[in-house]
Amino acid sequence: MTDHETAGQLSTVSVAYAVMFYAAAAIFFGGLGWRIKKFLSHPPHLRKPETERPHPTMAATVRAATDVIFFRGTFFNDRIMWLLSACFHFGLLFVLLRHLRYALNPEWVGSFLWKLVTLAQAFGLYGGFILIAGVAGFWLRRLAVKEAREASSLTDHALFALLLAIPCVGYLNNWVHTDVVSVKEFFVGLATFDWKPLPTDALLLTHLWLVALLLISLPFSNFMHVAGVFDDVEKQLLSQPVGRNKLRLALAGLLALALLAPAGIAIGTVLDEGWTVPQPDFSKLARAHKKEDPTVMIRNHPNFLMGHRSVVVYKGLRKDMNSIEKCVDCHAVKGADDQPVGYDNPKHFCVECHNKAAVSIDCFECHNSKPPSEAHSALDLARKFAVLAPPRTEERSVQR
Amino acid sequence: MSESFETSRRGFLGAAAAFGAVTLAPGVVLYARPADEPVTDKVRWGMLVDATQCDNECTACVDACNKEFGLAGHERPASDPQWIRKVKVTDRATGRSLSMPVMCQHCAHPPCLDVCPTGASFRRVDGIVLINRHICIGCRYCVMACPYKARSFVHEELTDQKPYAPRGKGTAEACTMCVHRVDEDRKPACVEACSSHNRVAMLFGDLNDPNSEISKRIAAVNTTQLRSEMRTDTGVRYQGL
Repeated sequence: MTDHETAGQLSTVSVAYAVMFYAAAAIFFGGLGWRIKKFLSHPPHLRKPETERPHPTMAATVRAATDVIFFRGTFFNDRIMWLLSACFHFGLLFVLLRHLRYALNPEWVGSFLWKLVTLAQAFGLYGGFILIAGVAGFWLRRLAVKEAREASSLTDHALFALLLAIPCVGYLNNWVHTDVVSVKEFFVGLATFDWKPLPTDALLLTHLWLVALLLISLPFSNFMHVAGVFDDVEKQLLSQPVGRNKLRLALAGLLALALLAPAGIAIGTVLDEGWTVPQPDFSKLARAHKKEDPTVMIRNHPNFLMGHRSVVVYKGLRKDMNSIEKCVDCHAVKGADDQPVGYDNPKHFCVECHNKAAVSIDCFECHNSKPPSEAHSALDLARKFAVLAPPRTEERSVQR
Repeated sequence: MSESFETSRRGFLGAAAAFGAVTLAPGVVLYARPADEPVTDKVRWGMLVDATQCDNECTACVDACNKEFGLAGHERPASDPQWIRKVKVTDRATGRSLSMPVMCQHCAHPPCLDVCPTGASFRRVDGIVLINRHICIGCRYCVMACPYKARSFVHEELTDQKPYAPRGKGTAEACTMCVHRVDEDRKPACVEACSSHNRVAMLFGDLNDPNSEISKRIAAVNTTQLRSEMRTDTGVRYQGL
């Protein structure tokens, strides 16, 4: 994935995943619509008598809203269930908000909303832990409480495993530094029907495949209860279509089998390209990274900067390759006035990508984001242009 | 005086070459810490301020520091950055008056380091006390703890910082003994500015090396550490107080 490939040269795995996500989205939203339609057309004997329906007063509306948003009913019924529900649903909300950066382009939503997406990154990062805690708690309850255990089927446990695996693999992705800008381009490409290649990390492909599996299975499972928003949640749970479980299961199984195709392609690609994320030799990277695959630097520059800043601050090793000053010098982008632009300009080298990925940059609150505007002192200039000079052997000979 | 300090600078360079240096011929050495060798505790950088030579009216050291680090105030003396300042002391009994620069004293046992909750205040092994602004949370405990009022706090957003001296809002800061210069075998900006004057009051060098000019001088003349009762063992010494 060295360059922006044109649509004609997309790798097999990119095409497979693109098709998979179109299918998954169609099945998920189709299934969702079907569930809502089904709940709205209850058999009359399950409907509450019309006389019992209160006229929608303000109080009733507030009550219904707190029920839907904060799970008011569950709160007064079972505090532990409420806590787990809150953990799962709000964790999921924050995680989804964080993932908006992959689905939206800053120019679509405007700078203010994009700032909110940027702000949501931190919430999503930690919201994932709350999400995991909620899923784990629900699953533990299913295993530990006798009644819940007896009411759980194998598919329930499989779904819990899936819900747990997706955020865990997601966090592992974070740890190896995926090329998030390419991932974004892939998904924005799906939305705009302008397909772009997908990075081929094993962890990323696993995460995305699991997500597609979840999207496809949810409409068939009784985990999907969002349709209850349009009616009574408890009644909806009572009205699960018990008799047609086998048919549903068979259909879901068939779709899951179809998902084996992209999985196979993904595994093939990963085996071809290697499991491990290539870790560059940083000591050479500083000078050689122009010739390297740009994604290597895109993925690893945070580690690179973090490691080298300590070396400079604590050990006094002020070599060029350790210095963010040198990054800024070479990567300066000139603005309209032919002067290097600062990081308040969206054209700034760092800002261009960081803005796309909704990642804020703290470096330039202290470091200068452009080569200094005033004239360098003679020594500064000497240092700047002595990039390739041998190690310093400043001669200060003294006669004793 | 100027002459003697100039030669002393050279003498120090030769003597400091005792570590990591190459003797080319008897008496001729190359001094340089190789660019890929970290700082060591074999040196302890220090300064000697000769208060008897310091001119009351002169602010060359302060100006040089402000210029070196781009320190600009906002006309608010109470909170403006101040890494080095001139202090005038007068003996009320005799009327004898002295002026001298006071900055971070680069203590061996710095109180700022003791109180720092994140470990951002640290002492480099060669004796220079610094702040790792990457982990400074701006609590300002160190500003309070410093007996020398050496630290200040960045209250305003800054732009166009010097590339070699990043500074930013919300962090504490102080004299770095021009660590970026020291790492290149140059004198701190204040010492350099002082030594270009007629009466030279500042001397920079390695306190650990008995042959350095600064070591020889503090062995010969009566020098004091400010607030020595606190046993901070400062790296900056004063002569003639």
